[in-house]
Amino acid sequence: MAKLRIRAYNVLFGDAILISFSEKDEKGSDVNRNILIDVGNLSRIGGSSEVFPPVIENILEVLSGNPLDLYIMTHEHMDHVKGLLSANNMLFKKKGEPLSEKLKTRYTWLTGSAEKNYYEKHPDAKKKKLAFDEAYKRIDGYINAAKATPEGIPKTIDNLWLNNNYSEKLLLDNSTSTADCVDYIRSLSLPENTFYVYRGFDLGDHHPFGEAKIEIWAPEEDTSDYYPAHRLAPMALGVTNPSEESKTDRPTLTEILPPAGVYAGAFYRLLRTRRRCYDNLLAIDKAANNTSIVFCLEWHGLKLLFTGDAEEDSWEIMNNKGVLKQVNFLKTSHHGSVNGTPKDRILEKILPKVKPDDKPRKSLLSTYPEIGNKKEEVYDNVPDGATVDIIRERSELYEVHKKNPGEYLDIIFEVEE
Amino acid sequence: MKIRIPIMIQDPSITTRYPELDPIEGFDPVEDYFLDGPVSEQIAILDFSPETGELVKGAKIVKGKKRGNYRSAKIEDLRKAKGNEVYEPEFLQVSTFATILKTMYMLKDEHILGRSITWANGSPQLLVIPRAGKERNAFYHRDSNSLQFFMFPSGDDSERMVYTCLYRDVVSHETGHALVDGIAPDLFDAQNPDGLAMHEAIADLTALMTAIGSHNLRRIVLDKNDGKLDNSTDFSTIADDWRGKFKSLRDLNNEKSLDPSSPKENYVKDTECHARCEVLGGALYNVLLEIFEDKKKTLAGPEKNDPKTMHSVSGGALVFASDRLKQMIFRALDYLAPGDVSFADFGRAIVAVDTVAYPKDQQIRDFIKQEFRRRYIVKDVIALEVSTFFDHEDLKGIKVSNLVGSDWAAYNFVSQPSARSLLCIPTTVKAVEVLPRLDVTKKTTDAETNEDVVSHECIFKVGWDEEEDTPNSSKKRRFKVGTTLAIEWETGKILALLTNAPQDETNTKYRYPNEKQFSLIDEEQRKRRESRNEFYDYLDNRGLIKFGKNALDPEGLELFSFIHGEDLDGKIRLRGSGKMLHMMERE
Repeated sequence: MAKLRIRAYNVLFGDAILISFSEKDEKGSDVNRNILIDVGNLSRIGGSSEVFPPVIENILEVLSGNPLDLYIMTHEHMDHVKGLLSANNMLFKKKGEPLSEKLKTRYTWLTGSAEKNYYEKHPDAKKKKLAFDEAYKRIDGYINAAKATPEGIPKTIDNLWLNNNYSEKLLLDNSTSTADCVDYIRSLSLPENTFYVYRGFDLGDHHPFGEAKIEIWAPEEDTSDYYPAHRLAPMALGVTNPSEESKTDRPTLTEILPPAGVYAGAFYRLLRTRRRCYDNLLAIDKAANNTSIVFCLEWHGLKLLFTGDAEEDSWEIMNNKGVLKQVNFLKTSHHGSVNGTPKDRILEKILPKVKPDDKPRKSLLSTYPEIGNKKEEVYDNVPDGATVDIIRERSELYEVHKKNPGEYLDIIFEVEE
Repeated sequence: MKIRIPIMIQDPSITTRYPELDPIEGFDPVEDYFLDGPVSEQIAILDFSPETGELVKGAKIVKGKKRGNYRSAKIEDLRKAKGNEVYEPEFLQVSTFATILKTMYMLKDEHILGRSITWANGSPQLLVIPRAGKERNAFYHRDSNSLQFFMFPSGDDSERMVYTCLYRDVVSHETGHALVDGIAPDLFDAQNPDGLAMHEAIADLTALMTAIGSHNLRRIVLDKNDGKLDNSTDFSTIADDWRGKFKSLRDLNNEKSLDPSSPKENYVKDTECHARCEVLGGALYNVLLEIFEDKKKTLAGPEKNDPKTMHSVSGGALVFASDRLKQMIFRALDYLAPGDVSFADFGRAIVAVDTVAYPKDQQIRDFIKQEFRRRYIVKDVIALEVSTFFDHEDLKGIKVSNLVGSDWAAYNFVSQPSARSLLCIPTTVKAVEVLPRLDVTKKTTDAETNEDVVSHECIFKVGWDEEEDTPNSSKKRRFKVGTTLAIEWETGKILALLTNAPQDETNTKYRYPNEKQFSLIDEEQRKRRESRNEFYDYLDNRGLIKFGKNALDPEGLELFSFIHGEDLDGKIRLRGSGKMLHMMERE
């Protein structure tokens, strides 16, 4: 009997998944394989990096001194990249045993657009990405100004802003950024074994597997389509930059009174609608989510689908490219958000309503729901109840967030050899 | 109070085409008050600095020499603005204000709607931002009842900025959206693409008609084209220069059609509203040309074969044609049945208002029907026939003023079984909504005597929800339909009945003047159902629908870039699909 285990860790709002299985190598000998996908969480949700050291220690225990065969970073969001560097800084470095010494990684795959010269090679994507970056920069100024007001900013906006901040030192007591975390991941394997992958990327000998097959369904090499212009709403954030005369060195929110004859209620409503930073943070977040590596691992006739945080646009493109297939395992995308699971007509192609055979169908949800947690720490409407119900109707659903922080659950697949 | 303000005839680029034309005209609106900004009772200009977001001081209105006559502090300079002076903030503010007000006046005219204009959602003022930011954009935003005009680099070799607020057709177009939303708000919640395409086409035609309303522009264009318009794009192009290098966004002078057998370049299959609007806009522009040519011949009389005479009468003929088209379009919006409507519904409403206004003048209505058939909006001209001028027993003993003034009287009327049959309300429908009744007094100029005929009508609308299955989901779709009755105030005679209700045996007695319509409308409604499905899928496949709280930002305001889906007990409906009007054009 051959066995494949998917171990999902409760890292609060984030993903950390270890796949372990056996297969025969080129010489026909049984070997154990381990793939680690994304270790990260959102600082403000659940709020803690304390969860990572025990998770990493468990992973090392599973590896028993052997190297990790493949690390996959699905996309460049904090809730998917933060964990390794956090654990290193919090535990291993302090012990004088850097994590990189213990977690030897044979191959590392990162999403295609994380490659340092990616945007130089893809000018269309660069143009669109720059527009999104510019919007983020403006929002950043607004949020810094708004945070200084008594009203502050809603926590949903704060979370989105933080999760999409790439360069600033916001994590781990303001000493580490998302970019630092990604850089750390780049250094896990030798440069010649570090690859930036996308659909159509020639996997060739860029992995150690023999029997197991991996197909990459997303992202596209050119990520332009994940940055549609219509998603960026025009913004007028009303921020005044400090002048030489001003007493403050930070931007402030512009205070405006309605002119004579203008209805005050309508005037202030207009100002609020023009401050569309939430709309645009959603668009920025969505674009990055859609760069997620979505891959299907085929093992002994079973197909296991890992989706990162892919959203509707990515699913639509995967569908149009004809890559979708029925699967036996689905990692529910984007933490069970309404935009992470494809619509019926697409879902039907991967997890049809009517089970086609007697093979198992399982799924995993990794999220941070309101139930049992502080309301101010969670995202509204995540997970989406109707979405979770659909997945549950079609598969045996495992919910890792029901475990205690740092603990894990195992999903087992067994097949006759 | 009266004010004299400058208005752009077209846009700054017009002097490139017509060097002899002064691009600025004077306009003398009369309002209860004008304040700095300018601000009036229904319009407020709010000029936010694109750089800092601060409110720039609005144009100052100072008392003029004559009592009740006000003017801007710099108005005399601005009236003669030349070159870069038109880009001064005060000119932008005043010119934008003037263009919006002039567009509103066009509709307020008693020869057109015959009633006061209100904005959607009961908003008292339309807030207008002449310099909303830097991008290629301008839009009507329902949630804030605002018009927002942006600016962008011209794309030519110069450093010239294109200020969309200086473009008379762009400003009129967006004002048209706001006006349409005030008159027929259900179009903004359309469940099928025709509702939105109608919004867009009428906004285009509003821009066209304000252009024709400019005496100087009309004269110079007709002189250039020897009094003809059939091969001219001078009036028909929308937003010249929008694509840079003086390229326009759309041309109403087109042969776009829903007929699959049309030449490829003319066939419109798209559910995207901007593509689809060209079919309706093109059809109605052709109606304008037809009325124009016909009127020229009438005015020229025996000299109709003389090109000089035809040229000399062309100005009057164009004003006549534009006024007639204006009447058709905006009165038809008032007559349109509530809820989810199609181009064909709008065609029937046009036929109805024109029949009521000019019962004897069948010729142009025949042309309209043929034009709608030619563009495959209807399969047969019979589908556009409408029930007009008939009596109904339930209205005989009723005072129309009571129906208008009393909700109780209106609901009591609707509850009568025979009235329900008249209003095409299926027996299975439990809850209906009677909309606020309209008291309309409008004038129509008699073609023979050239005298105004005054008519006093009540426009009575009732709406209700219908449900249907959706092909790609287990959920049902909920959509609104309804019926409009135009009732003669003094006699209670029904002037017209228009409905988009699904037909069944209980509601067909009054709706058709021609029994052949039953099967045609059946097919039309089947297509409309398909169209709703396609429209929903179009939005859904692009991830543009968000349900419930997901459609709102943390402050509870509607998201800008998503359509609000409503899901009530597994029955879905779109809210604010009109956002598509400003979203898709930004791609």
